[in-house]
Amino acid sequence: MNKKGILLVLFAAIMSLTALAQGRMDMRINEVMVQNDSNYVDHYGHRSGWIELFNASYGTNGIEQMFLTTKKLNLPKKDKNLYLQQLAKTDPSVYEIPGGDAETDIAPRTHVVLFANGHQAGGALYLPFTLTPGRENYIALYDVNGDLVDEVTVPANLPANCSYARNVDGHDSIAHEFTPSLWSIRDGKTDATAITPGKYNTSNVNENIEKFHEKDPHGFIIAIIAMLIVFSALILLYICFKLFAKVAVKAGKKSEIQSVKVPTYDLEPEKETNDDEVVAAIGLALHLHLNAHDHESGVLTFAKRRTTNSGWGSKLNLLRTMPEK
Amino acid sequence: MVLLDSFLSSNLAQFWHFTGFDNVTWPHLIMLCFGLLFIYLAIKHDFEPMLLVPIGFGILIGNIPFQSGNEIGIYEEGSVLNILYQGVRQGWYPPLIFLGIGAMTDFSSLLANPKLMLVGAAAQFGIFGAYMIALALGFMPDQAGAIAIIGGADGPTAIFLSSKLAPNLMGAIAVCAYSYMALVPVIQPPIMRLLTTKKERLIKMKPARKVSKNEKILFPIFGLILTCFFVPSGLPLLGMLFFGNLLRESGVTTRLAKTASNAMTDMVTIVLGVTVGASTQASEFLTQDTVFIFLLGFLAFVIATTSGVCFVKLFNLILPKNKKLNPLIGNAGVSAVPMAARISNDMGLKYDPSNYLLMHAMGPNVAGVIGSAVAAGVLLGFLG
Repeated sequence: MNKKGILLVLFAAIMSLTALAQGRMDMRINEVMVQNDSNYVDHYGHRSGWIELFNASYGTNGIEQMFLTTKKLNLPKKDKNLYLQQLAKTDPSVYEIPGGDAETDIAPRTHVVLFANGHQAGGALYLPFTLTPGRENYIALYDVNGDLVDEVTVPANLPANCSYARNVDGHDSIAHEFTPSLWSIRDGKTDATAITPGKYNTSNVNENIEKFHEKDPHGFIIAIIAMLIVFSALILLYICFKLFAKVAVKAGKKSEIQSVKVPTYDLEPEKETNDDEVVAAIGLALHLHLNAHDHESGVLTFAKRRTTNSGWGSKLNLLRTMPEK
Repeated sequence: MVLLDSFLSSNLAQFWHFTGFDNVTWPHLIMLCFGLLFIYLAIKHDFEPMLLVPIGFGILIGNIPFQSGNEIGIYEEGSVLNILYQGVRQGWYPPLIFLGIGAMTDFSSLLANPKLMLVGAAAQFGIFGAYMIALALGFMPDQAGAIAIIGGADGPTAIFLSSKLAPNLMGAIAVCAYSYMALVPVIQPPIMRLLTTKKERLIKMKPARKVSKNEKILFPIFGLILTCFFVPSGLPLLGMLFFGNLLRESGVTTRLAKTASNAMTDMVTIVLGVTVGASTQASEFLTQDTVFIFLLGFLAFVIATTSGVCFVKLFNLILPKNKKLNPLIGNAGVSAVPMAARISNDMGLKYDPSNYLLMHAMGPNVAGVIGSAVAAGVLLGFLG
């Protein structure tokens, strides 16, 4: 492989790695329940606090080897990932999500729930730490390389069986910092405050539709605006091609004037010929010339032609007789 | 022996439970009759056979009774039909059909007389008239928009928009759109006769000028830019339509244009037709909503035809005497290419055997394709 090729492969590899990393940076801590006495049960039928992550990107993200912790960490500038890996081995409040589990591949715009039951033996989605009721619970998510992806501080006053959730799934501040105004406590008593582990925090109500239903119940506004848009688009095309037509017609006239008159010759035969062989030879030559690459039957017939062409592609079918009423 | 008997009888009983005979219900039989009717109309009466045969047979496929859970049905995840249906559900097929339409459509008649674009725009009122009626019947705005697009008389557009706005109504909307497109020769002529005088029907339009190759090449490029700057949401349809047309007109991609307009369109039409037909399972299709959809679809066609014809009449008021348009081409503003244009031609010939309107009507007809795609984009932009 030449130098250019190697550079291209390297560039592609770097770009794909960047894209993967970018995808994981879109993982969000989306909803948290600290004290769970009568709510969501895990795969073993037990209840514990849980943390919901949301893949805010439009691509599947693997969360294996990312780190989830309840500890505020001061990471070294270099080898942050190695530091986190070491810590995960000794400190149960730091969890490195293990690889090799299909459950850690998160589809686009979907959720995954991790159970903070303190028993990691349950599987990749079971955390070695628990969440503590009655005090602030800090939770942070770190990328494979040790970069902070997301963090949240669950307030101490979060009641039992209530969750602390983003108002809109994955919605973040511009600075990607924890912004309490984007979060709220949910008690599950109404649709608006529903506790939704593994599901969207907001119901999929299309605000536009609600708005139009309320403000334009008869559809007059949308009809007028839409017709105006349709007309505007086609009027613009009309104007554009009216101008093109003018230019084209002018150009056509100019080229007609400039064109040199080609002398014409009278090619009428001197005398009428009735030589069938000549006609047949010309016919054969034309046939061979025009059908050089096709396998036509060459049969001439008065029988009605039937083709298997598309109705849209075939003039024969397009111009077929009117259907009977 | 007793053991063998019980083994056989239990297995036969189990087999019986899997058969269509055990699972059949009246709605299944009604839908099977619908399928047979479609096939009959297509074969015997030549009503849009390229579409009604696949759809009709699809209805048969979709309504064979079976026990669910074996990955057979179109709505069962992982089944072959379900995989093919994703092209409809996710809106992949309609843009591919539009690519084919673009590759087989000659826009010269429109370019020769660009004012015909306005007729194509006017006929789109059928969509928005039906939208208002659908709201009055109690449909939500997104459902009303999906139903109203039937008035655009363009099957792929109807499927594309309904798959985005009201997927649960898509089967009924698609079948309704194609059914009425097939019935255009029955629906439109009485309205055209009603709205025009004999004198108007005899108007002879000037023959169209020859359109240069450059104009034909520029049309898809400028068409895309101008329309999609207005409605980017119409990009999947308009983008493919104009791309297909550029393949045709550029003169250097004949092979691609041929494939797009023949083999590819045929393949997509087959899969689209069969899956749309199969999606009309009795439980989804035989509802009150379907009755309303068929009623609204009919009204949409009536309004679209009326507005197209009336617009030409109004337009004639401001046009010079030698440039007047024959109102019989107004109906062609609804897409339904080329059936609607043929109706204009046939009616013109009926009143004056020397008055050929086909090429004049093709102008608003292809403008209708663009207009309905723009209208779909607008509805998607507002309600999507």
